Amino acid sequence: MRNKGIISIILAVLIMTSSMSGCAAKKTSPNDEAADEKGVELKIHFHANNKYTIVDKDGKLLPVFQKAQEKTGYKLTNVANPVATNSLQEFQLQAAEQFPADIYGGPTFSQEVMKYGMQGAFVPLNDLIDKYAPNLKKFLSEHEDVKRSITAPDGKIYYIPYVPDGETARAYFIRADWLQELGLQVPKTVDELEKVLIAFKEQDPNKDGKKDEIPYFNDKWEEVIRLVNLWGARCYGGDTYTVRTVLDKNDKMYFAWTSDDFKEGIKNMARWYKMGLIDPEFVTRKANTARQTLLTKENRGGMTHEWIASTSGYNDSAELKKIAPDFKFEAILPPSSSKGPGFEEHRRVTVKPCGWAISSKSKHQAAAIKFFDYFFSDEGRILANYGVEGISYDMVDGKPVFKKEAINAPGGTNKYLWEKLGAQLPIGYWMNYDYEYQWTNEIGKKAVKLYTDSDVIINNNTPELNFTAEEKDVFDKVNANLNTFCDEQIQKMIMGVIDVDSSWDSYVAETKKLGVDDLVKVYQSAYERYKSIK
Amino acid sequence: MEKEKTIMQKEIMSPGEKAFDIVNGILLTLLGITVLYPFIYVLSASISSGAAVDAGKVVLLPQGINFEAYEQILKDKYFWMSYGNTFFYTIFGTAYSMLISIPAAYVLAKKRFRFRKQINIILSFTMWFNVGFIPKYLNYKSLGAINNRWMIIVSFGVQAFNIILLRNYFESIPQSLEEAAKIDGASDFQILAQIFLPLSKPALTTVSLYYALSRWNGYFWSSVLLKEKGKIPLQVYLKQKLIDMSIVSENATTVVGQNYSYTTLVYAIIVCSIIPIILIYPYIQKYFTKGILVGGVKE
Amino acid sequence: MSSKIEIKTTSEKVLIKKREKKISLIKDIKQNWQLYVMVLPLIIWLILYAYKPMWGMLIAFQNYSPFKGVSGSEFIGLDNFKTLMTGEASKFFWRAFKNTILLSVYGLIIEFPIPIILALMFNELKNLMYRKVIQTVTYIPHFISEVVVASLVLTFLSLNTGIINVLIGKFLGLFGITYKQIQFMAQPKYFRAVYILSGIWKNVGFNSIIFFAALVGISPQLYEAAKIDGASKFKQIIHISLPGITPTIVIMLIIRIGNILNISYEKVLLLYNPLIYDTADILSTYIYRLGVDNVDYGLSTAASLVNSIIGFILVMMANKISKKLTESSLW
Repeated sequence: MRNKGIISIILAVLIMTSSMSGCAAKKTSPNDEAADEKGVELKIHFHANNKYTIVDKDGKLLPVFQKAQEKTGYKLTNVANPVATNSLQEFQLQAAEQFPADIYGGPTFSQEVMKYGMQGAFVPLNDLIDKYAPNLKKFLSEHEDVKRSITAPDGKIYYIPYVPDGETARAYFIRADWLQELGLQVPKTVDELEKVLIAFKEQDPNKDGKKDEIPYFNDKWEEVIRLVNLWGARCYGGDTYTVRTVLDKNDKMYFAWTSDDFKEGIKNMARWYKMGLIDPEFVTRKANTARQTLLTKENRGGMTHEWIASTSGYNDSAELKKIAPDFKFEAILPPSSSKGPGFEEHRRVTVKPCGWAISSKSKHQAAAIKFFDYFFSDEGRILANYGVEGISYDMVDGKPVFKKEAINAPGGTNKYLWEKLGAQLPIGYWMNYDYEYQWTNEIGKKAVKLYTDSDVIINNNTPELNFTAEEKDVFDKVNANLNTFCDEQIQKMIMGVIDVDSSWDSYVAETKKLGVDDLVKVYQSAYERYKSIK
Repeated sequence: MEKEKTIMQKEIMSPGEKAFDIVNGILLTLLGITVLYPFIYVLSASISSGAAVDAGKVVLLPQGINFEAYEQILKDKYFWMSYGNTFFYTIFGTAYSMLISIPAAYVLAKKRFRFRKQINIILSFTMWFNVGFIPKYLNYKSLGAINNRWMIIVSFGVQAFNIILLRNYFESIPQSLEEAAKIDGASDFQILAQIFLPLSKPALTTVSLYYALSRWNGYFWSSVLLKEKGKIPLQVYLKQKLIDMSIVSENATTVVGQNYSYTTLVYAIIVCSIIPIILIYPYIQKYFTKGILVGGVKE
Repeated sequence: MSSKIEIKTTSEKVLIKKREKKISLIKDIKQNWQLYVMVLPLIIWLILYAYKPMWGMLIAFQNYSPFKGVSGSEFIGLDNFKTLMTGEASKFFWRAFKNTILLSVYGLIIEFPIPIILALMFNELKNLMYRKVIQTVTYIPHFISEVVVASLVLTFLSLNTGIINVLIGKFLGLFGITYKQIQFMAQPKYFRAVYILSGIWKNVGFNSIIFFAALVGISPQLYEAAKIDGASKFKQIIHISLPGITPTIVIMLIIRIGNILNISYEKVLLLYNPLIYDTADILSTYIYRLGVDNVDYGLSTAASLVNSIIGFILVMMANKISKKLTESSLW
């Protein structure tokens, strides 16, 4: 009896293993490794920022991609349209043609890539990474939050992302020269800040004999609303202004724009607006012109909340020095409120919604993933961040240091790197904050240190979440219309067109009718799923 | 003949008419000055210093006059190529469009054409019902329009609106002229060429102007269907510079050259693209002549 | 007494009529073959470029994915239309709808007659050289891109330095009235005026060309005859010029009515902001915002289909009316 049992077990195991190997033999891998020798051609459809492809304006491969071609041994061919002026549209047209190229990348397309991926357009990368991409595998295992953000609801990874580096994004900047002129200290609480702004308004620090100063201004009206941070309220979830569902201290999602903290913040902002402390034209001013107008043109601006590198650059502006020779725009820490210490809500995101993916039509999928993997090697990371040695940087003590022409390039270092080198383009790579640090001026560097050393930047931003089809349905139906309604009402409240206290309840009731609770539920379930990904 | 008429009219003008003329002239001049402002602004800004323009300091008169923006674009071979391309698309495109539109408008103006009403409906229908971007693209692709200059000409030749305008004008030409010619044994081709065309100069000029302008301003499909820098028209070139402008606007200093910025570059290109249009109107003015009756057939 | 007259049945009568029609069609083609040849290129072009891609309208009824194509995408009937037009959020759609119509109608009433008047004024200019210059000057703004004009408009309307506020302040100051500056673009009630006036500023000259062309086509002998009869300039305009260009006016009007829902989003997008959505948010900007975070071709095709249908119905009505009242019509 026992023998029979053992024999049957052995037989069973034999049968199982033979059928399994039969399965393995049947699973035709899309490419033999033999087929991916050097010289395989990879057709790349990469179109970013409505302008950039992997070739320069004369059709030659940009230096970064030439180097990558050398080092990986694959032949890189550009198939994107260098003349097109809308990257996302080009991507959609490729969708209509079933994505004939090997590699697709460029626009902010993560939602679209996952949508098409789940329809079968893009290759799931999980196995490919396991088999052929050791650098990527290591990186993803060491950066769980990145891995979670790029995993689609079906558990598969469809694209390799552009991963930013560094914590800081925006900071509060104030006219240090005006503080000095009026003999004021750097404000540490929101009440002190209010007094400083009133002083800016009343005491004519720009010495033109008129009380024409604008104490607080911003290039974008959406950013002005974030001032509610000063009174302890959250506003936005991440990089974009359309995500207003945020996490609370207990890791639960809620809609920031209907919370009580937000109400108090808006009440205070309405008060400030009435006192003239906030730019009266903050809604009607043409977007992205406030800094230029209120600083360089008219020297009337007092304080803003902006990207560190670009804003600190105003300290070097020759045009500005002509009308304001003592101009000094420096960063200050977020002031504290009665609710607690000050905090900086705008943190650099962990993963950007761009990168690149492999089309399921591709006959060279292993080669493509190996190509992706190169950029996550140490050498590849330098290539993607700094460009080519001897052209854009030199090695000094084993570290890449930008040449002068990169730092002082007209139009900015970023444009120089994108256009002349092909570096810093939103392919799938890991940015190195040091590159940005090198072209930030002294004041900017101080600002970065100030913020990172004092631990004021929050660490519970709403992560990049990937919705299932049902969740996306709710999101699509609710989000845009909800935001439209909120924008209108909140702007009116700030400007005093309607009264905050008497309108608040009906405002909240309307958001419920528009589906805000469903939206929050959807974010919560996507977040739970995000947390559970291993 | 025109001069004689003018003198004649001057002789018999009443004081009421004189007043009318003066008021007319004044109003038109005021209007002219007001609407001229955007152009003066663009002109001024294009020769001003980039920093001043970007800071919003230029309002009417130029500041920091320099011609660097113009230097930059005139040095760029792609500017000249795109300018040339625009002329190509405009001239051949207009000719092609008129070749299709004129005979069609003539036919649709003839009451004796059996399918007049049906084709008019089919034509008008297309003015309201058109499809979205992706189906259109796939259609153009299937008809060979990708990266092909001549297919760009062929694929965009017809605008129902213009044909209807022409047809309208043709309908107002007296039936008697046609009947007389038919009695003399003329074919429809001859009637169209020898009677209708000479009498329709204002309408023909207007419609060719409309076609020419839509080619001259054509940008969207050129940027999608064409794939080479050497084939694009001026408007696409301009749009590329506009994108450059928005890319640098994030920086504190948006000046890219010694004295110019992408903003002044854009204005310079706009000026360059308007100049031929300014020059062309006085030239085609002479076609806006009062109609002449041929053969003395009175209505 | 059998009569030679044959009595035919109804179906035979129908057959005979059909055969007669066929014969006369062939006769017609033989007689008027030139007309058929002349209209053929247009027909071919329309079939290839306008009608062949019309399968694209099906997208409005699908959950469309460009990757799957029309054949692979799921058919969802009227769901896209329902999403747009019903539900709590639909009030934004209907507001946009209302704003689009109001903007078009105001534009029609205020803006439409002005190029006509302008053409009449041009026609009266005696000095040809001056007329050339003025006409050229007025149509130049049409060619300045919308981006530039919108930016100029916003600058003009700004506080303190905006020229409109400055001029009004100076003007009222003459009468001793102190003027509190108005933030025009922050109040819904000003938007329509800003949109229409800036449109006139930019387009009036160019739009007058077609009317001017029609005016020049009027026989000068008609004017001479009227002068001899002692008609004043004003009477001449009313009784000769206007009737002479009526066909043109009618056609332009019908087309304009048909385009009531077709205001493009570019200009409004550059000018508007959430404070004035109440009057400024139109169909195309509303749909544009829907599409920013969510690419949905089915939804946008559905919206454009709604546009097309309503527009075409309006055109059919306008066409019928104009056929009764005047002799011109689209068909």
